[in-house]
Amino acid sequence: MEKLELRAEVVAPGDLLARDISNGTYTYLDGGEVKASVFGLKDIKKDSVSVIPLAGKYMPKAGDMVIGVITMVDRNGWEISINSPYPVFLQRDRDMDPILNPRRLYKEGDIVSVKIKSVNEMKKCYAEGPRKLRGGRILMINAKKIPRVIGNRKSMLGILREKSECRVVVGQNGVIWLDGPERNVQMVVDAILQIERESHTKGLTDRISSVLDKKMKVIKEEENGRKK
Amino acid sequence: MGGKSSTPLIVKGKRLDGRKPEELRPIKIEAGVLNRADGSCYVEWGKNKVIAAVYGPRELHPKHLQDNTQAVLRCRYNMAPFSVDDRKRPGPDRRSVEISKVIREALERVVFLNYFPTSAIDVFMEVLQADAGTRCAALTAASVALADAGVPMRDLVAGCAAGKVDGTVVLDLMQEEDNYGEGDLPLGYIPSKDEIVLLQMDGDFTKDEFKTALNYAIKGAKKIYALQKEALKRKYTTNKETAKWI
Repeated sequence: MEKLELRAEVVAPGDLLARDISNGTYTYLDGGEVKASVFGLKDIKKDSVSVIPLAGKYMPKAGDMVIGVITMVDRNGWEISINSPYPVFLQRDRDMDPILNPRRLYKEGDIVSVKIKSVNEMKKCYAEGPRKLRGGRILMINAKKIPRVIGNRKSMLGILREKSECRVVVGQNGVIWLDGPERNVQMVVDAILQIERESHTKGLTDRISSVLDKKMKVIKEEENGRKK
Repeated sequence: MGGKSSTPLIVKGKRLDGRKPEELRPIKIEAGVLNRADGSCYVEWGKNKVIAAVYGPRELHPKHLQDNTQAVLRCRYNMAPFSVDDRKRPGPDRRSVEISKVIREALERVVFLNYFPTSAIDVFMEVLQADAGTRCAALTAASVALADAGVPMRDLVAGCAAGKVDGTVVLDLMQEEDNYGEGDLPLGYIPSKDEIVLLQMDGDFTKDEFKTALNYAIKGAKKIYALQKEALKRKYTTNKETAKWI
């Protein structure tokens, strides 16, 4: 395997990042020194320094779109497991018919995408805007690598969707829902796993793009061959 | 400790395996060895072989164990039945419960537990082969595994022991020295803060001997700390090459 170029310096917890600068995410202040609090990549900006983590669980944040599985239903609503230490609760609409069985809407095992409405200091989360995802395929990856799957201004996600002709829904919690022809979906799965593996390297978008082009060419050729 | 060796343990300033008093055994640390765990680490320290796995932060059940202000850190140190000469009766015993506790208290000092209220972080340490100094090796492995799991922490904790053999203070006891020596001093240390998070003592030390032993152990821990960081960084700087002996 050829050696890939790192996109930033790898740091471990406790590593000194800089002095007398404001501390960004995943860092802490020790006297005037900014130190890394997680294992990840150093990210220096003009006025602050932060760390891009390479591992860790998803932490719910208000406004995030996540995909999860309904794990519990009661008369107040639904509990959704989102691959995180904290589940989210989807409350039943107040003007919903009280006699209606909530399982008629969503039952245990259903896959839904929701937006996180609020998170309190005990990390209890409430969701809004549910959407049921029917069929398709679910892929779970490291949540901290989702920004790379989406890419700068959705560049990577755009490439994945366009080239593979699949429907791709990405949850901030590391759960990805895919739907389309079986071989195309498999191609996207392989591409996403490659992104997860190589998220710390440079020039990833171009590499993924060329891999997808090559695979699509094979798929197209075979389809044409069958028609003839 | 206990019994006296029939042969001297230090001959002409050299120990049974040829080390000088202030020398560590060869150490190999590898991060991310288990696929199913959130973080993991394998340590070979002389003849010690220890594997650590971290799961979490994750939901804690039953609910009454939850803490609304911070995460609960749970540690389990366990020795495999085949890790020592005589078969070790499996399961927790007085010794391993104590070691689990002191390691938990050492790690609680560095992990930002308040980031994860109501959740639990589980750390499992399995000793596959023991050759004295397993609590230090387990602590070393556990802190690398925690970092590998992406758990936010102030720093890594390095473990290292010093001891007294044939009246001489030495670093990093091996099995024979531990059995027939006169004292053992395991240490858990945070080099960047100069903070001691674990310190136990077995046997007799004079005040001066204790000071030298502590100095030796701190020096050793600093070396271990460098290896821990290197092991973590190696995970991403090389493409999955297996760790080499250092």
